[in-house]
Amino acid sequence: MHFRRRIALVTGATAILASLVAAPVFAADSSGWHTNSLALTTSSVDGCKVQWWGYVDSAHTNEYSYCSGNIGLQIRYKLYSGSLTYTSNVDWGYSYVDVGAPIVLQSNTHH
Amino acid sequence: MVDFRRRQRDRRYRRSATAATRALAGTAALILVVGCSPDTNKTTGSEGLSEDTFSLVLAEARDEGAGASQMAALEQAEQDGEVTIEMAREATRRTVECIANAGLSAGYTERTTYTGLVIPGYEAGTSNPGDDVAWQQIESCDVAESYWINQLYQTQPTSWQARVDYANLHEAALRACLEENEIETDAQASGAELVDQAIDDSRTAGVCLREVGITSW
Repeated sequence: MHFRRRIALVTGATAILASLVAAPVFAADSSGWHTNSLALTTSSVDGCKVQWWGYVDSAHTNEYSYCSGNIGLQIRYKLYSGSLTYTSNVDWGYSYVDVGAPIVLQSNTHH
Repeated sequence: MVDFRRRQRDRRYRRSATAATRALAGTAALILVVGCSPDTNKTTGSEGLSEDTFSLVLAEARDEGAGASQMAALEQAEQDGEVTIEMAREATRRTVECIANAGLSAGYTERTTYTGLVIPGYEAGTSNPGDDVAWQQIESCDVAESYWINQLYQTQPTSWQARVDYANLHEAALRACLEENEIETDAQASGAELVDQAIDDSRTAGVCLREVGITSW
């Protein structure tokens, strides 16, 4: 996965606005794909504090820094039978998203 | 009342620097962003999306690779003040078609959320989970055809209000679950405020929201 990462580095009154240039293909900041796990992982996406965790059959993410914008969650998963690994489209919320599937392998938090 | 800050979330969008900016800046240089846009609360109607939200989403979509059909749908939604289920369906179907045209397995799906909102979606798969080219193709199709329409559809004010109404209906169950998990609650807190409280603690987010069926907030 080559989701673009955008890093917020706002330094109060001294913040300088960057000139934005044309972007390459992939949109939206995201955490990148990570293994679904019970372990609570904290990170920063789009300059916002997010955390994610999961169970065998679900993945969860939430944003806890009161950033504006939305938080999205996408998963890769398997069914109980069959050889394909699937990906879902993104489920969106304001601060929390929980997505379920038979066997959740990976998740990707968007902001 | 729901936490004011959270109520504002759908009226503001962050603007941030692109990866291309970062690349230009170089690894040792500063990476700068534009902060949150002003919350002017300009709305297109009582149930419409904020004009600011539309303009920001349109700009982001244009900059980040949305295709012509998705841009046309976004512009139509801007005029109408909302994203309709049909717009979301059409965008998702175009995504499925794009993925299938790339030779990958893809199917259109729909599901109904806890608030009754029907969400168009897709299942796209590969027999080789290590096939980065396949995953990249799927994401490219999503970005081109439906990423922003899908996001706006799920987060527009009518969708948000339905979540608040649902949470308030389940206030008692939410309160009971939080207290069972040793989280003190304000007796005056609404169901929506209790959801916010549950989310603040990952232990209860997974347990209490699931208990009442809340899968997104």
